[in-house]
Amino acid sequence: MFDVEKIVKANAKDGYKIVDKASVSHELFFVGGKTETVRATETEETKVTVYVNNEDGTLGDSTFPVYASMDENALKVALNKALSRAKLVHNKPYALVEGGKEVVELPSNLKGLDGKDVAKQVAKAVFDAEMVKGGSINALEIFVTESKLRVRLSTGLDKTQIKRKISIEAIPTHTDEKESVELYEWYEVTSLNLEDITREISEKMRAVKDRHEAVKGTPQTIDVALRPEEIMSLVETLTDELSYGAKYMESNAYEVGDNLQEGRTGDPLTIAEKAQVEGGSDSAAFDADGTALKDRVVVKDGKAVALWGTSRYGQYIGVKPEDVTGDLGCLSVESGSLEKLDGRYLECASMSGIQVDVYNDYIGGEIRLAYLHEGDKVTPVTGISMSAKLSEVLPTLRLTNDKVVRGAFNYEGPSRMLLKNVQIV
Amino acid sequence: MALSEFLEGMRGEMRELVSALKPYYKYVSVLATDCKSSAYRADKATSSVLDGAGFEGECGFVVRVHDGKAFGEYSASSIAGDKQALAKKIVREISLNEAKNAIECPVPQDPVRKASYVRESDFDSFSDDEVLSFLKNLKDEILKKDEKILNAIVILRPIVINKLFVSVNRELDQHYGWVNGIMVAVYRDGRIAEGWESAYGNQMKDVLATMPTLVDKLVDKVRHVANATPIEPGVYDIITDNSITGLIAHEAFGHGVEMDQFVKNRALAKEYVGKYVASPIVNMHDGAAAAFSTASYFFDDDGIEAHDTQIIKDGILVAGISDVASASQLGTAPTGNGRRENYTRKAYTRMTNTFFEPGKDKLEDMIKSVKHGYMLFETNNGMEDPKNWQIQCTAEYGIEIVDGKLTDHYVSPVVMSGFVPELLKSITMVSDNFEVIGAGSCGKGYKEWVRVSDGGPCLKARCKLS
Repeated sequence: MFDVEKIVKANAKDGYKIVDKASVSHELFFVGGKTETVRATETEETKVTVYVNNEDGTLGDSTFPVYASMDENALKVALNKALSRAKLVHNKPYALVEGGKEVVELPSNLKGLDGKDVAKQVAKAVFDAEMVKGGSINALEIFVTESKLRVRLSTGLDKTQIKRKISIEAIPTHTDEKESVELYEWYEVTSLNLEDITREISEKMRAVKDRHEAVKGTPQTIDVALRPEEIMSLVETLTDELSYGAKYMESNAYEVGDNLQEGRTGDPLTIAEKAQVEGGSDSAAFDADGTALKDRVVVKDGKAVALWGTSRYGQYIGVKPEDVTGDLGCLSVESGSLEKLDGRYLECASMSGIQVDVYNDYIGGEIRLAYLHEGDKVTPVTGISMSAKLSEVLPTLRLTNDKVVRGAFNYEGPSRMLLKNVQIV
Repeated sequence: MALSEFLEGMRGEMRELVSALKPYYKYVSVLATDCKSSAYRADKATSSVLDGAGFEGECGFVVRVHDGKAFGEYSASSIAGDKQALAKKIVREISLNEAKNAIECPVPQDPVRKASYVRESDFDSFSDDEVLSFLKNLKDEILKKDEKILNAIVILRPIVINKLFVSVNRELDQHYGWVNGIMVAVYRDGRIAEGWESAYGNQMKDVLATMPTLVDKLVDKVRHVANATPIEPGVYDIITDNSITGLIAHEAFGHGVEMDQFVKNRALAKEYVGKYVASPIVNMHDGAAAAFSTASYFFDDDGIEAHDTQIIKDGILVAGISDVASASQLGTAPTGNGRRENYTRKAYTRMTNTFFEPGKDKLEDMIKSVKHGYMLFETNNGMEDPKNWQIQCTAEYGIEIVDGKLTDHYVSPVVMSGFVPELLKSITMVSDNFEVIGAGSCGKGYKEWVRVSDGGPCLKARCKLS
């Protein structure tokens, strides 16, 4: 392979960015407990962005891919096309990220292990899960991936990041002569711990049995406890409104200083955008612009206190390049005061996807499995949907006082968030 | 233009690789992709033009083998070099002989076939300057319509697909294009609302001609949605627009007839083949050859040529759709629905162009027949549940119908939920208008994105809304 940077550097006089992504994976696909497909991948792709300082003081840019199949001539053709295109683009200028050379390996015990062997061990761990009568894993996909990201800029920045992870998609199923029900499980970790995998799948097997035995829920207004998966969806939607980009585009629902919990009677909500959480599949040391990631508390005690985002849009709204957070992929929520959940409430165990719409003041979704707690009595229920006004549940929400880490969802924080007076239909 | 120069140049190397792998396996194929994906964009503050946008831009190879029992695949960016050495590496990497407890399914058929398919587009007739200027002017036109419009985003996404499939007995190649034009308006009137309109086709001149005609509709819509109220949860008579009809066809029912889910016992539909699942006035299709839209390829990523599959006939579930691996396990013929997000990913059974057939009713008569209910518009999102056939589909907005007339009362968002056959059996009227919307994409579970279209007529049904 020819030297891409040498050719780009010789032609893109006003600046460039080269992002290389390379990945090796070993994958196993099971149907009904049997191997259907064995896969391996070895792929790489480079994207080059060229920058042009236009005569009117604006900055133009254009990006193109460099594939392994391209020869030097094809690269030069694509490069010249991108340089011409960049001259058509007249954006507010911004500085490319400065920095030196750095190689980061995110923590993982997968380093040095054979991906094929790991995939087999993971499969065994999944199928070792406790199966109650009628339980099975009808479909299973395992991906063991090592990926390398390298960002090079005309400023001299040259950063490389190596990540390793295991992804599991499993379909725990429970069947008897009357019916068969299932749950969907997406599990992602950056380190191999076979016991954890077996434990996680065993929990799901118990949950799917509960779904099988669940009764149809009844329409009512009730408090609803969300799990980390749904808490993450909720707080991520809130913090997306606090990005530099949303602010610059004037499409942000929240401004710094806004109180998201106006008239609060529940626990204060404090949310930090984070670079890394333990086992987080989106954990990173720097983003695709090369910006070194900085954690940032964006909501403190219910109030929006800061913005976050990429270097370009940060600079557009006046943030100094050294203060830019970068494109952060993880979130941390401060724990609350709730010792334990008690009384009468619904605890979500599986949703088909929570919908959070800050523009329409809405939170809701279909609940596939929930537990109705009535004191000591717990009843699995299904076939219901929840809905509430965001402006009513945010001020009254309660958070448990524990702290859990869920790398699959890039989340750390309380294990449960209790939304008050949610409508169930 | 025909197949890309790069793929044409790889034809010989792919044949060599197939030959090198043939001694090890009972079935060998190689799919090569060279797909160009561009994005032109203008908004209030910025503009851009780039290649390699989204999940559609790709260039690489995927080898598929079958050892008489199960499947193996190897994806690589390059197959350059000694093919015998590469074949040995592939055999080592996918270690099918180590896959203990493998399924046992028949070797896929590989009938002798050679074909080249070309569908020309006009993308090269438009310069980058022309396209970007068009988008910037359109963006300005939208912004000028109302000072409450905070931002207008106008995007054009042309893709050019080049794929070459080589197996022991087959060589198929295809070249075609598709372009989506999307306009988004962000509006603040007390609170913020977002609305969008799209135009699509395989000729850019048609898309560029259509987009400006949608500006007034877009602006009117966001004005109303900004003042929409939440819906009072309950069960209502509904009328679906073409987009929501497509959402029901695709999300509520289509995922459930993907036959890789039959293999995994993940689809209730498996038990309903030959039975009523919908009102007798309902007919549904899927297929790359069933309608002309974004998923109208000539052959799928398994090398199976495009089909038109009738899924529901007069309310009865008659067939599902399949890729090669699921068809092989089920002992059925594949329907040309094997699709990959790109060459790095596995092929699954995926929908293509999915729609209900038009009926005989007039939309105005359908509205008149509703005492109190809602007409639902535009797909927001939806989640499939093929095992349990529960629906969760979200419409961007609804308009209340009172005494047979559409009112000025907008509700947003609107979540439809319930049991799929109950919804489909509640269909009492099907309009004679018909549109398949070709600007969509779809995941399977939470991954594996491919471009799809869906749509159909307007439907009158009854559904739980919240």
